[in-house]
Amino acid sequence: MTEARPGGLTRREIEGIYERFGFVLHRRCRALLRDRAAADDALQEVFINLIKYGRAYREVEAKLPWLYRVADRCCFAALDRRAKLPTPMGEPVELPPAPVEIGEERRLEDRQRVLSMLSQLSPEDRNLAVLAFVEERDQGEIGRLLGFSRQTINKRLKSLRARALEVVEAES
Amino acid sequence: MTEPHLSAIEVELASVGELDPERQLHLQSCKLCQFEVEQLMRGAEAFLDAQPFEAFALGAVKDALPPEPLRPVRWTRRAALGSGVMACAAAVALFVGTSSPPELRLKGGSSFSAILARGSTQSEHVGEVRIRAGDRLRFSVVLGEEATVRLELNEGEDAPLQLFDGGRMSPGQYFVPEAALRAEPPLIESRVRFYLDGTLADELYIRVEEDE
Repeated sequence: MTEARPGGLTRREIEGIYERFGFVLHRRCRALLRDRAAADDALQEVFINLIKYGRAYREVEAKLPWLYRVADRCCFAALDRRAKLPTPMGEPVELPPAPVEIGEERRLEDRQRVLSMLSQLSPEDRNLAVLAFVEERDQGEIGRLLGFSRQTINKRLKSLRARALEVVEAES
Repeated sequence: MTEPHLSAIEVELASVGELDPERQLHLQSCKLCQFEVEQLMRGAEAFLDAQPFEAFALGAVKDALPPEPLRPVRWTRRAALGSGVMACAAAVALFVGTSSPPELRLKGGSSFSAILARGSTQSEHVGEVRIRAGDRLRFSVVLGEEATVRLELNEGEDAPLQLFDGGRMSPGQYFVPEAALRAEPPLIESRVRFYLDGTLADELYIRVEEDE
């Protein structure tokens, strides 16, 4: 059998994770990074992390949410690296894939705006943005996950939308 | 009150067989949500076809990957996508054309069978299945009551290979996602053991079909 590294996973486990979750993980990376090539790199990084430190995966019951947290961390790190680079002018931005359920126009606009400014958000706000705009969880559920009341989440989401709108208006 | 449709995360969870059982009830009855989950599963199939693990493993991950196992690989694992409710939905289509459903029923109304896909035809087998190179095998588990499920592949003298360890599973029909196999030469005879609650409940012999 393939030997796992200390704290990591075996080749067979890694292959199983890729075949079962690779697509949705890549999709997640694309949604956060808004760029296919960057998502490809991030997916590689996700699996490097799993190979080295992913042993906890074996014990986790809900595999996908746990893997998403790993992917989010890799994507946020990539966003931070990207934010430090000078912005290339006129480079086309790849839009994230359309959400599975096409909702009303405003919700889509909010999603686009907030995701486009992920790199400018605090770690807390990034998590909030992902839960609300990528995973489309309702405010009560987000509150439970982050340990805040529904009202607090509502307020923070409003402020996030307003900030995103300001950023977009300032840029245009 | 009308049950809300699946959220984006729930659609993704359903596509990998991890949707909450309560929400599975909604999925079973909602054509729109089923369509969305199926679309995602199709996307996943296309993704794996375009970049199978072997190709992905040539990227930056290459240096971090543990080495290939020393034992010869006779089977290529090809994870099917999804299980649980979606598997139930898929089963309807899959079993159309199956002339003889398995008669073997295990304790608690459970059963274990192999679905052999050869070209465009599919057939279901209990006890024994005969394979050729290029065949694809999936395993179907029907649970009459809640139980822990484990599948092991035994090849010759080698230590058994754990194909699937699903933990505690609710009653229902599942295609075991991690235990889908594609037969690649050199083919050898092997058997898959099906454990229910830690006890050997059934065995399926995989034999190599002789050339006609």
